[in-house]
Amino acid sequence: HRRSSDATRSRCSRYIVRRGRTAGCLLEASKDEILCFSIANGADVLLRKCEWLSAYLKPSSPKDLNFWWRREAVTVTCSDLPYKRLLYEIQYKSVFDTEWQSKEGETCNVTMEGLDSEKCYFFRARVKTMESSYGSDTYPSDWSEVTHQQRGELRDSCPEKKLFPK
Amino acid sequence: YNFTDCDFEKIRKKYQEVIYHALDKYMNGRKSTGFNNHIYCEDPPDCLTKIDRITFYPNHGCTSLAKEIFAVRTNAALTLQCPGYSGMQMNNTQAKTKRKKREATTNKCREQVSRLMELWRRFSR
Repeated sequence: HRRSSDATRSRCSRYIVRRGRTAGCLLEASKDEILCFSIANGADVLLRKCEWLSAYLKPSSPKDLNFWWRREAVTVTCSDLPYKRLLYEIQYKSVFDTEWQSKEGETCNVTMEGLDSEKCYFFRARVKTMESSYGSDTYPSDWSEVTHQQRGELRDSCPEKKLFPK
Repeated sequence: YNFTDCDFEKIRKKYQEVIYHALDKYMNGRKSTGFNNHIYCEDPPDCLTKIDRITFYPNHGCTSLAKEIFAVRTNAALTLQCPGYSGMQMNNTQAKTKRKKREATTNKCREQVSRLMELWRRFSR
């Protein structure tokens, strides 16, 4: 592959492997530019293409989540990434829930309502791209670390749900 | 026409709200990355210049996209948000033909629309 700002051609140094097969290549990028690449099976070139790097964007995970509690709602914020047209997804569940619940926003300022602040909650966040602006060849970010919250305060963890014997 | 003075944010909103879905519908779920001839645009004026050329002028074996819904909406957005843009002049005979027959979606036209989608995506990022 070669980037428009750099004449040298390089080989992928970090392949993405899925079910034992090469499924992609992870490239660090600090700015958007044209990437020309080829995919080959040995000496047999299967595809040659040039495209904006952002068409293959995998955003970085959200960091430094902040929590703003009031009565039965919490607003989760974090710093917006430099790219536009992203979707910030927050997932949450209490110790009594088996499934995560999701809420999305176009900025990292997402409010979830109907929560009981007495309960201990797990939260995690990730960033996705809008298909209308990036197409379908992008990846969602990895999930952020899970954060625990109870009574409006950070917790190291949420206690296991105790099952009372009948 | 020089697209430098257009209201890009309003055009982008119109793209997200109506033009994107019309393009997607035209492609009928086909992935627009299935075609190999790629087209780039650098910045919003450059993107709109290329979008205008592909949408309203015959290209590479695709005689006319101008009657398609996404084209009519593109024309409306550019006419509204780009000062002095005269846009696609639909005369009566064309308007009648538009209602009677719409050109069958050929593969050549789908190829052009997939390039349009790449340009619009780039414009809206």
